[in-house]
Amino acid sequence: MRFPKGYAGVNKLFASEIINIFSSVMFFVASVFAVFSSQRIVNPQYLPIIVIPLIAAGLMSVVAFILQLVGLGQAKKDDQMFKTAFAFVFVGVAASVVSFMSGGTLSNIFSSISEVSSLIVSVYTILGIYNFAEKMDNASIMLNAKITIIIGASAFAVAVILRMVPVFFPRTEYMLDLFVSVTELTAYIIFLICLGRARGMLAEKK
Amino acid sequence: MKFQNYVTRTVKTACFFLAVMMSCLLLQQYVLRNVDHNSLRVEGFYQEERDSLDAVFIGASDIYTSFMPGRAYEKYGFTSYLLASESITSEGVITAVKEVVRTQHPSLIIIEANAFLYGDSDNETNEAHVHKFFDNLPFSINKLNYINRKVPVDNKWEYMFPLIKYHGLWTELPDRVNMMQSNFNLDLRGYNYLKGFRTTAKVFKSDTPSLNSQLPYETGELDLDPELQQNLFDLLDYSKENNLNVIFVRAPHYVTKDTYDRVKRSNKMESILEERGFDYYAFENYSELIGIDDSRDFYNEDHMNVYGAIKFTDFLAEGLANDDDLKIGEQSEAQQEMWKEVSATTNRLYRYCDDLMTNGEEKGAQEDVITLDALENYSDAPIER
Repeated sequence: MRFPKGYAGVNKLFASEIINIFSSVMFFVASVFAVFSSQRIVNPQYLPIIVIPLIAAGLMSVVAFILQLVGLGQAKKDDQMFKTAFAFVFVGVAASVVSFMSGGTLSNIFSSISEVSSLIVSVYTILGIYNFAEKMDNASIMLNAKITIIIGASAFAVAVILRMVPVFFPRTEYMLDLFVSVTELTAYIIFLICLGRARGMLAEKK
Repeated sequence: MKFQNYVTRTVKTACFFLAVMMSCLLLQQYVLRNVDHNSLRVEGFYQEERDSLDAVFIGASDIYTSFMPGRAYEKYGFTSYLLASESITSEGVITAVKEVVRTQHPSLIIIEANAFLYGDSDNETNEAHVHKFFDNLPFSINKLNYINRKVPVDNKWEYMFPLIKYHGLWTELPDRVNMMQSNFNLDLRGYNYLKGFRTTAKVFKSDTPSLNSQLPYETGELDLDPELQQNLFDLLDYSKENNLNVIFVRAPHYVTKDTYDRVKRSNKMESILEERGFDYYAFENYSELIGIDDSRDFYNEDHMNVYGAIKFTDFLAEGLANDDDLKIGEQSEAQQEMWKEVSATTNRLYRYCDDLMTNGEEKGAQEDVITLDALENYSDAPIER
């Protein structure tokens, strides 16, 4: 294996994303149960089916975050791009906390910083994978990485533009949010595929 | 390495421009900005949870010094907000109504008539009054419409980006720290404590006699300024097209010979509104019925102090609570907690102002760090009249 630390890091990043997906599913399940039970007379027997998935989702999110940090920490030993991604994870977390704890314009500004940081983490992670692929002469993964970055950046740009539309057309944000979610989900799936293929590439004993 | 260099250079350039933009936004929002009680009031409105207000009051200082949302909630359980600005223009009132429709869906909109009662339309182009309201509105189609239609070409950019107008304020920074901190705290907290109420602790004493006792018998009318009348018609048409429950009020004033013409214009406005099927309550004409004491309840000719405001609030809130059009929405626990805090702060403010006036001190009292700090020494128990 040419990049053992790179492989270990990317492996953990992939695992982190899979756990995040499960966490989102658990959270969705808890939300559905919460809506379902709120329509009935309050009954304590419904509480566990809401609370358990919620707790599971929370725990999985924490595990996923730790895996992401450890993964980037390992991968940065084999490529510098992961170092930048690693730094921006902390920038994003700090911005999210400030955004959550405040309101008004301050919250909006730091929410934007958090989203941009998230994008930069993804871009630099994929750039790191691109570097590995270039060194291993894997043109297919290089192309995959290029496409992932272009689509990811485009989806972000579309989201930014569409979020300005409700300024001119009030009460359209719900419909546009749905469209933005679909775009971002597509970009995320492409990101996940790239990460998965990079795992396979780095696992090769060459 | 070409692709990586291209991407990293693009990211660095984008980050640089984003950093510049964020810095300008932060400077415009918190530092180089004409922050005053109007800013805190208008901004606080946009921090209210969407569709969480049962009633919204729109108007000028007449209403934000007269009605106490915290008191109304405590006694009658409905939530309200004072989306008002000092000497707001009639165009400002129309924009405010549109903003209320855009962000909230209150069951009642109450408009104080002041903006339509000036003897001429000079207030419509008073830059200070226009800026006090419009600078604090977020970017929206309604704000853009106003800038497009009413602002001279040379000044449009400073309305879109107030930093252009106020960049020179850095020289006044030490004096502005109090309001800057208040503004910052508002954003950190996520809501304001007084929902727009502001007062001055002072009892107005005047050698000029009040003519309030004559007003119930005054039936004379004076025509409204043509531009203001047209704006009123536009507002009424907009309200009808959008099925809004709008009522108009006129808050009590210390009416003298000099301000008597306004009463006659108010009577004219009442006739116009009745013709068009809108309710108008000229409380100014019936201040004695409300229990307003001319010798004690005002801090100047145009505004009531807390003694007057609490009476007016109780009177008007009771009327609104009995109005079939007012629908009281369900609140989450977090909102109930917030509104309890609003009522408690209002009660403290009343006691604070009462204390000041009893000791013969005169002071403005509003949602700023100095006033809020001073309130901590006072009880938050409900005020018994």
